[in-house]
Amino acid sequence: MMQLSDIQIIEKVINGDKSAFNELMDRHEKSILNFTYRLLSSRTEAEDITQEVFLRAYKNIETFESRAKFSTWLFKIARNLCLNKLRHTFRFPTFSIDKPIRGSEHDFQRQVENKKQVSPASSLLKKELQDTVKAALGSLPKNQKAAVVLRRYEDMSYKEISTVMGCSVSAVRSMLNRAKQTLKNRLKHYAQK
Amino acid sequence: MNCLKIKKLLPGFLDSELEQEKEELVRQHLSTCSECSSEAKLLANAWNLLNKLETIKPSKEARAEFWEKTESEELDKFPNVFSWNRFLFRWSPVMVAAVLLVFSLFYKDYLPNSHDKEIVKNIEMLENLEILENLDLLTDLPVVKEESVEI
Ligand SMILES: [Zn+2]
Repeated sequence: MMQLSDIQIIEKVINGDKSAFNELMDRHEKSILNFTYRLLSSRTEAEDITQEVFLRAYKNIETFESRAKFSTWLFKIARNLCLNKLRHTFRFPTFSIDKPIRGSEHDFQRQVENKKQVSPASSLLKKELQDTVKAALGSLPKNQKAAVVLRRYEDMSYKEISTVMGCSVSAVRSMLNRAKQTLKNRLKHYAQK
Repeated sequence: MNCLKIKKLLPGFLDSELEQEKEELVRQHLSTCSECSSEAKLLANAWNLLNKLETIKPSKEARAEFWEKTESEELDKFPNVFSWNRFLFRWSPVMVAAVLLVFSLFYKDYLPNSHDKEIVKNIEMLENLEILENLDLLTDLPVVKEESVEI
């Protein structure tokens, strides 16, 4: 059987076959989840935002214009929600500086410590590299970060990124230029090998 | 074209996002300039390091939760449906007050005068009691304040 396109599935949903939306989620949920995860660096927040993205898409499915790709539309919603979230957390940090960090972050640190005790050296190096890459990506301004993630992991063209970000292609070009320079400088130590 | 200009074009070149003319210029320059080609290699390697980041998978619970939410939100679309329970719950204090008001208006004329006085007295006593209680609250205040400062 031939696979239906996203647009054909959207038509099914609009015509009342709500469960067809599951297929759209199967196709795009992982990308959106990882996009939001890389922007927010919190799994819980990424899961919440991803769910919100699909709820909004589902509720407004009739307003989707088939000229664009469905995934582009999803990334656009996701990007806006993430930036809102980041703005919000900047103004109202969820943890206090005076208090020790509790919850997931603390658990994460503990996990890392435990791993250190049992893992061989190569795994340690891998972890160190992973942390450095994560920190390098994390150091980018949020719009540059979004552009990098869309280019690197979603393999989007500059044109498509500009649609998601709501800016010009030349703005995407300069964002990626600056981001790539920063990444190069921060990862020099590993990139020279 | 000089090296500085070429270096600015490198990120776009590596993404195959340059106009054909510029792409050809960069390609030619790289074949002759070792400094720029090592810069290009560094940029490409750093970019490739991004694949070291972990990828996460959506949970099954998330999907179930999604459909639960769409259902509850569809119910929210009809919040104007009349419900006696909700009506009674919301308006019961007002109704009780109204009944008492009507009752007191009706029975005012039938109450003997001495009873009236006693009621007034009782009310005054109650008010005094209330003032006393509030005085207690006032004396408590500084203590509360001190404690909150210490924290
Ligand atoms: Zn050169």
